[in-house]
Amino acid sequence: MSLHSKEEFIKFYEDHSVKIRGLLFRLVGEAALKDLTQEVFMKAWMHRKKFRQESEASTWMYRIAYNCAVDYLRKESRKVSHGLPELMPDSLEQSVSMRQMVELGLANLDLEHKSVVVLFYLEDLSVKEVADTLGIPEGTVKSRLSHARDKMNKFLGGKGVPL
Amino acid sequence: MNDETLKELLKQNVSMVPEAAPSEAHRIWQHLEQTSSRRARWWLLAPATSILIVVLAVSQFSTKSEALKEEEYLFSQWSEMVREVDTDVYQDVFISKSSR
Repeated sequence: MSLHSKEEFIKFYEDHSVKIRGLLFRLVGEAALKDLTQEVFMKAWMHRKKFRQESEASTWMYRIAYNCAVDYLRKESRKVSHGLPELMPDSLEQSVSMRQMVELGLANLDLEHKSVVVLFYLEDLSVKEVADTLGIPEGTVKSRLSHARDKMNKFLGGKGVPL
Repeated sequence: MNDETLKELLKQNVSMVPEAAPSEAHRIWQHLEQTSSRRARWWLLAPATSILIVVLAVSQFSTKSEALKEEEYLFSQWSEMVREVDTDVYQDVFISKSSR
């Protein structure tokens, strides 16, 4: 690898890091963010010749990030849903801010639903791009979005959030 | 809640992603360089080790076959000598019997 490659890599990192770190942070949290960001960029850079121009580079990067997150969560056997919303006493609920409520609502979703919510609502990907990223049909993305929306509605409505 | 309302709610209230360290790209690049040099070493060492193993195996096999040949030669020499001695003994016995 030459010095020229280093400059290319820095540019590559700058182009994609915000989106990739955003997705990883929402899926795995802050603890593993640094390591997984490194893993994603190393994998992407080492296999960059395999990237076919059929899809956007960002979709390809999202896919690598999603797969790394899934592998990490599988290895850690960590539950994406922490069960906090159900365990929280009413008095505590009242003092929880809207921000925390939304975070809990997201944490209440399983990985499949959380990933479509993050990509569609927060990263502004289209249904087709989400489908390409996750390697699933568009119909599945739509049904997962609908299910996730219902679950979020139910959770936030149940906690007294005005919708 | 429709798509737009949910999107707005999420975007307004979701936690901010922590800032990356300014040197993160350089740090990842260093890891990439280390990994590639490790791989290069491996690609160099693996064929060299394989060749060494093959050479050792072949030389050991040829040493064994030479030892086998040597053993066969010694055995044939020994057999020949035993045959000659036996013949001499038979001849002596025959001569002594016939002289009587």
